[in-house]
Amino acid sequence: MKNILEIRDLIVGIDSIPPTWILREANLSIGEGQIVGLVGESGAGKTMVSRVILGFTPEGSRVFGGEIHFCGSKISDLNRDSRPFLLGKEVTYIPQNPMTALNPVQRINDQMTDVLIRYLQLKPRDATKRAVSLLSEVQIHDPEKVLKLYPHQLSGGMRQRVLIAIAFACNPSLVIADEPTTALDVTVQKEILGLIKRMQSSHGTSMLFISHDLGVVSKICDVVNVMYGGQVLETQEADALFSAPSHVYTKALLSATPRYDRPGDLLEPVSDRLVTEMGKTILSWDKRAEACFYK
Amino acid sequence: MPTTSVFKISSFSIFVIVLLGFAALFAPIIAPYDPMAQDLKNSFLPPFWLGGTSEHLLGTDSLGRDLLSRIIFGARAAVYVSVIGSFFAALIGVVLGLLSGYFGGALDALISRLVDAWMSFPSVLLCIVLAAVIGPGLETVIVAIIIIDWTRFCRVVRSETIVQKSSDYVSAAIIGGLSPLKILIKEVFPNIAPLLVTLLTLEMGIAIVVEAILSFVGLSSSHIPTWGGLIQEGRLYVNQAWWLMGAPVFCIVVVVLAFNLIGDSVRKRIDPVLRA
Repeated sequence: MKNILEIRDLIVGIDSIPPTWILREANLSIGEGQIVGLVGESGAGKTMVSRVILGFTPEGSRVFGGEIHFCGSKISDLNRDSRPFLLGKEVTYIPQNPMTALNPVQRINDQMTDVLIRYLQLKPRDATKRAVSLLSEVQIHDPEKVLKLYPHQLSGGMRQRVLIAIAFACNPSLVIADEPTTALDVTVQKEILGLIKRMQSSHGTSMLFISHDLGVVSKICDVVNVMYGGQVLETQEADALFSAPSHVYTKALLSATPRYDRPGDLLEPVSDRLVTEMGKTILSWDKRAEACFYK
Repeated sequence: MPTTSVFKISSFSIFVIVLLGFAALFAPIIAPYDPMAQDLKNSFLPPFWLGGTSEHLLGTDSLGRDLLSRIIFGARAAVYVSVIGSFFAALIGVVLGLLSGYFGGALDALISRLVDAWMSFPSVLLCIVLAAVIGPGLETVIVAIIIIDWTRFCRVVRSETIVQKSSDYVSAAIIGGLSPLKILIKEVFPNIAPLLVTLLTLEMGIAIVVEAILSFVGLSSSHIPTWGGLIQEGRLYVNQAWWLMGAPVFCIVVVVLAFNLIGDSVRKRIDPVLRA
């Protein structure tokens, strides 16, 4: 299978002396038409991976090494200004918090058609037509009416649907969903997950699905990557990962997660010993990196 | 939120402001007398309800000039000063605030420290120094207002721009390749506009007070009647004819109050977040 996105040995750090490392030689690949999960605890570097792909690293941080290939071409060398038409059209983003992602003073129509007019060169009227069909695709009733509303008139679930519609508007090759359901309550979460999955398969898009929720990931992803300390520890098919995890950290994570199919199980917190051990590995990596970048 | 009281308050404010604007625009037509015409035989006439005549509704001053006419012409000066003064103060403040908040870094440090230093001057003193340097006049008052009060706008707009800058829709615009200028105009500015309306109306009230202060110390125009000037003249005769000072004070209080109230209710109406 062809890979849509490949990240090789990506090193990102905050540019201080010595640098604070965020991604420590992370590797990740996304096959065509796949949903690839990226799980890990807070601070593991999940969001950073998505930021680097988008070329939108936070102030003060920079890419020290490694490569990002998108559809066979290397994009890690391009700076943000020389890849705008790639981002927004080919790579799009479903944000974490639908409450703040839409501009509160613009109507939904303007925010949806903006993208269509800019990237597909549609005329405003055609763009509105396409927006209507997109909204009905994400199961919003009465899309014509919704287009005339402002974001504050929609519920959180509705806004997330609008954002999903915008993300899929230009038939992108890759959609990055950064914890798209974290800000929603559980029942809406389920609907949105189903919707994302449906949109992904009907548009034939590849997807990077970032989450800290193993349950969510098991439901939606084909392949799962487990991240810790800026490294991808384990990459496996979803079924294999959950039935036979190979890395000790993955095992520990799984036994710390409640499972609805095994309600009687005792949960085991990730042991201190394991955390210290993994901390040591990271520390030795840091030493090597410092020696390498600051001789 | 009791909507009726908001409605009443805002309709009171609108009434006052419309009346002010009307008086300012048509002063020569409405005013019963020339505000500068003296009539020494009829000086210190009391208002009609205190035994004065219906020819001079609010009475006359020490030189027999009609107080009502002077108040009406004073409205003209008040509107002139407050509209032009706050508009340009807002313009400077908003532009610098947007740039400072959006670009950050050295530019932000420079502008912010400038604002801090600027605000540490006692503003009335600065006004007086300024007026003493350029010479008295209504234009001096306007310049003083612009130079002193742009910092109010700058600070608020800067902090609001920083908030807006970190929002996802601005990130999306940056990733989409929109230029900073377009982002500021299209994405950031519309979101801070409601705030600006409030600030602007507050500033108009402040401008009227500043004009009064400068007139009171004799640094505003002495050729045109202004409310501050009327207070200053009336102060001399407050024991014999309190209305000479009372009437302009009343006008200033009512107008400034109206501006403050309207700012609040306008913001409540047009801010989509608050309206929800």
